[in-house]
Order: sequence, then C-alpha cells, then structure tokens
Amino acid sequence: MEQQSKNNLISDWAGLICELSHQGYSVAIGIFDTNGQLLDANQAMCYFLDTNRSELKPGNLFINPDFSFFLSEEHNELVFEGLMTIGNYTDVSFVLQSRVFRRNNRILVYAEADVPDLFEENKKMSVLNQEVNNLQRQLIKEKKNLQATLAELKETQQLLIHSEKMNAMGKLVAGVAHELNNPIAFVYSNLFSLEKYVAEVFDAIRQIEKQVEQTGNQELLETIAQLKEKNELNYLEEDISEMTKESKVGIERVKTIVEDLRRFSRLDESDIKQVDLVENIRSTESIVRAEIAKKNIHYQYVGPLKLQLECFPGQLNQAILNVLINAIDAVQPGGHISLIVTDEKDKINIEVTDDGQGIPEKIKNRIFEPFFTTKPVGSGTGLGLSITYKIIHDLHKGTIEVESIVQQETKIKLTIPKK
Amino acid sequence: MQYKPILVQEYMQNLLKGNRAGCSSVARQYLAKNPSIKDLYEEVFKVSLYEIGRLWETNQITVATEHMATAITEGILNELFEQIIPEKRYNKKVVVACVENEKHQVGIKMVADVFEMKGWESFFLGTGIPTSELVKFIRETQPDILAISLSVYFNFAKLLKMLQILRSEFPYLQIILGGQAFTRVPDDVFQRLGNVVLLTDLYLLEKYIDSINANLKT
Repeated sequence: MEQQSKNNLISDWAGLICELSHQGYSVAIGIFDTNGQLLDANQAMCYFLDTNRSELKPGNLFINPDFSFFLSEEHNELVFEGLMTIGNYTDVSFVLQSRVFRRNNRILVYAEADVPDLFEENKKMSVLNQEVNNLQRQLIKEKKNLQATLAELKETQQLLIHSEKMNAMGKLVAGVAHELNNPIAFVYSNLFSLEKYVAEVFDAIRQIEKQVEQTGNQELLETIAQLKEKNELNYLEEDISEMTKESKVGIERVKTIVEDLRRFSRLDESDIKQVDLVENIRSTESIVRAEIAKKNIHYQYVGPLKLQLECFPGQLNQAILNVLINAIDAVQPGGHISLIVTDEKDKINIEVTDDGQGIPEKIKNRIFEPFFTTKPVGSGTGLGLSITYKIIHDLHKGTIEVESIVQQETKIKLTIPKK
Repeated sequence: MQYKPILVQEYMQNLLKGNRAGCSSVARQYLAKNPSIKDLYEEVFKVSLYEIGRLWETNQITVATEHMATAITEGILNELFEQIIPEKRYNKKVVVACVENEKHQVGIKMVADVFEMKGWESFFLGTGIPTSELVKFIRETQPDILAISLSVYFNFAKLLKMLQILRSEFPYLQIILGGQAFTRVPDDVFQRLGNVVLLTDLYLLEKYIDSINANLKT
C-alpha cells in the first residue's frame, strides 16, 4: 500500500521529470518513425547516436539489434528489452540496458546506463590502479636492489679473478722455487767441495814442486816451470779461487731469492699464524728490488729487526707489495721511498712514504675502488689498492690512512691490530 | 619564482583533462628549473591535489576525476622514484601507512619518498590495511619509525583509535603524523600518547630525518 503511494508521489512530478530528462545523460530517450528517422532525442541519446538536438542526424547506428528488429513485432507495444549496442562498427560502441516500444508508427527507444554499476567499476578501477602503482614502485625498488647486487657481483667476480691469478702466480712461483731448491742445494754444496778440492790440487802441485826442488833435478824443474807457464797455472789458481768466490756469492743470492719467492707465495700459509713481519717485508722487498734498482730509487727500511705478528702472511705480503709497487710507479728516477714499521702497544703500523707525484684531492676517495687506476691503459688493473684494502680492512680488521701532498709526498699507513 | 604559479596552473589543467603525459612534462619542466623533487612535491603536487580536493568539496568535480588526478600524480611519483634513491643508505626503516579505510595514498607516498631520498628503506602496504594487519607487519619489519597519514578529517576518530592500539602494542615506537586533515587539528591532542610527532609538511619532515641521520653511520 505504502509502495503504491510512493510511486504515485513520483508520478506527481512526471511533467518536471520529463522536462529534466531532456538534459540528462544517464537515460537516453529517442523517438523514431518507422523509416528509422530520428524525430526527437534527449541529450543522452544525441550523445550515443553522435548527433545534436537541432540536427537529429545520427552518426551512429543501432548495431545489435538493428532498427528493422523494432518493426517486426507489430502486435506488442514492447518490441525489445535487453542490452542494446549502439556504435559505428569501428571504434565506437555503447552498450545500454534498453527497452523499445511501438505505438502506431512511432518508436520509443529508452536506454539506460547502469549508473551504480559504473560507479562500482570506477571504484574497482581506482583500487586496481592504486595496486598497479604500488606494484610498479616495488618493482623499481627491486630493480635498484638487483642493479646494486649485480654491480657487487661483478666486483666480486673481478676480485676473484684477480685473486685467482695471484693464486696461480703464487703456485707457479712456489713450484719453480721448489724445483730450484734441489739443484741449488747440490750446486751450493758442490761449490764448497770444488773450492776445497781445487785448493787441495794446487797444494799437491806445490808439494810435488817442493819435492823435485829437493832432488836438485834442474831438468825436471825446468819442465815443471815450462808446464806451469804453458798452462798458466798461477793465473788459474787465482782465477779459480776468484770464480768460486763469485759463484758462491751468486748461488747465495739465488738461494735467498728462491727462499723469498717461497716465503712470498706462502701457499701453505693461508691461515692466520705467528710470523716475523720483518722477514716477510724483506721477502716482499726482494720482489721489487729489481724495479727499485732500475729506477735508481733510494729505498730504506726503518724499523725493528724482528717483529712477531699474528697475521695472514701471504695476504699481508701482497698488501704491502701493492703499496710498494704504487710508490715505485709514483716516484721519478732517483726518488725516495721509505718503509717504516712501528710497534705500538696494541697495533703495528707499516708506513710507506714516497716523494712522487702525490694523489690529487679529488681522487683520494676513489683510490680504493676496484678498477680505479691512473696508470696508462693496460699497465694497471686498478685492483691493487682495493685488494690491499680488503686484506687490511676485511681480513686483518685494520685501517688504511692516506696522506698526500701533490708533487711532494704520499704516505700510506697500514695499521694492523695485534690480536 | 614566476614560473611556479604558471606550472601549477598547467599541471592542474592537465590533471583535470586526464593528460598524464602533459603532467609529466610539467613536472620535468619544473625540475629543469629547480631540481628539488621535494619542492616539486610541495609546490606543485601538494598544491594541485589540495585544489582538486577543494573542487570536489565545492561540488565542482566528481570523485572519479579526483581519483584520476590522484592516479596521474602517483604515476609521476613512480616515474621520479628511480631518481630519488641515493647511493648513501642508512640501515633505517620506516613503515608508512594510512588510517584504516583512508583512500588517499599520494601524501604518504611523498613521505616515503622523502625517507628514501634520505637513505632510509621505506615500506608501504597500500591503503585499506586493517590496523591488525599493520600491527603484524610492524612486528615483522621492526621499523625505526611509523609514519601515518590522515587526509580526510572525517577519519580523525579512527586515527585516535588506531594510535591507541599501536601504542599499546609498541610502547616505544616513534610515530610521526601528517596529512591534509591536520590543518584543522591542534597538535597537543597527541602529546599524551608520547613519541608522536606531527609534521605538517615535507620540509619539517626533512629536518626531522636529517636530525636523526646526523647521528648515524651509513
């Protein structure tokens, strides 16, 4: 009963509602004749049919159903009910909930957009859009993370390659050193025997001479003198002794070099252990001795003669070597390099100072970056100091300080804490 | 300074037309003159979106248009997002959130961006996250700061309820608040909750983060 009265209340406003519907956009109303001619249409119908109220010449058509369908059911007033598609067969199509009525030769098309549904769709789309936006943002973040990880991996890969190279070099050096050790040992010991034997031989000759002299046989003496003269025995004795002396110095040097090489490569010592740091530094120096001599560099070591330190000896040698190589590259021929070791209560400092070209302020922050190098292409990998950094900082929990005045001096100070 | 009002106007026009490319171009023009993304947020995005809000409040645009304007601006935030992440990162986390049922997420994203610019890691769960879920997420993430945005004053009671729940779950969690709604709220309301700071714009937020970062190591 109440429902009925409410409907009546709306009906009371029918005239005004009808008038307003001319301007509305949610309900489309159009009146056609049986030829399909548009006779009157409200704002919404004009929009869907792509025309205006003064012209009433539709640009769009009834596609499904088409207009002829409205003419087929002559006996019912309601000739169509359902979803109707209006469009131009190419890029425009509207789907509307419609009812079509026929009275005599007039056809009313009454089509509505489902407004609550549109609002619902709009709401869903907004939410989806927010989700897409949030996902996109997450994606960008992940991309950044991946890029960072990739860069890190590349760096690690290069460091691995370098350390693998160093490792291979170490193995080669250790292998060669090991192989050289035996021949050096017997050459070394043979040299001593040889020196002794030669001395004995000449001693024997001198004794024979003495014996002959005592017999007074001038002829024999003459023959001996001639033989000595002919074979330059006096000179030979002097020269052989000189040669053995030189050979001994030489073989001593070879022995030291081989020992240094072995100590430097220290393949057997990849674990932390107690070593004499000074001895390690000496062996590292020996690797660059030739370079130092070639550039006529004044090199000096200042520090204790012995210094026990718990460290990774092989790696530490490499760290010091890298710093030394840079110092040698930085100085002019005839320049100065010093390596100063100081022993403090809880740490040990290794300070390499050179009077070379120095490090400009603007690159000071970058010298420990992998691949950063100021050396000509092909001559430096740019990994030396970054490896030194890793060895001192990561492995030994130490620090590296760099002080540099351009064209005056550079001081690289490695500090290693004592356990 | 002359270019700013002109660009804001252009941005607004493009927003209302739904022209995303146009908006993006305005943002880039702005950055060409003033490279501060923070200023762009405050002087162009915030001003424009507040104006869009006003147009809706005064019945001149639909909610759909407002959504579109928001979506376009969010899209541009994402375009710029890649540029704002600095090399220098702190090991600090912020969770940013809206009040339950609050649909406006642009503001809080700008807040997240300022944190990202300052080297923080930001986490955003999206809008429509119930407080119970937020509590769970905070427990997992263990952020240093929780930032909550309130755009619509209508949701103020919900915010207070949310703060009470969060405070009882996390008595010491630092919480910061911001958003358009706070132009109408006296800040002493939050005093009694403790460790709650109201930051009314991105500049105050920046100062606040800087004061924390000053004592941090990367």
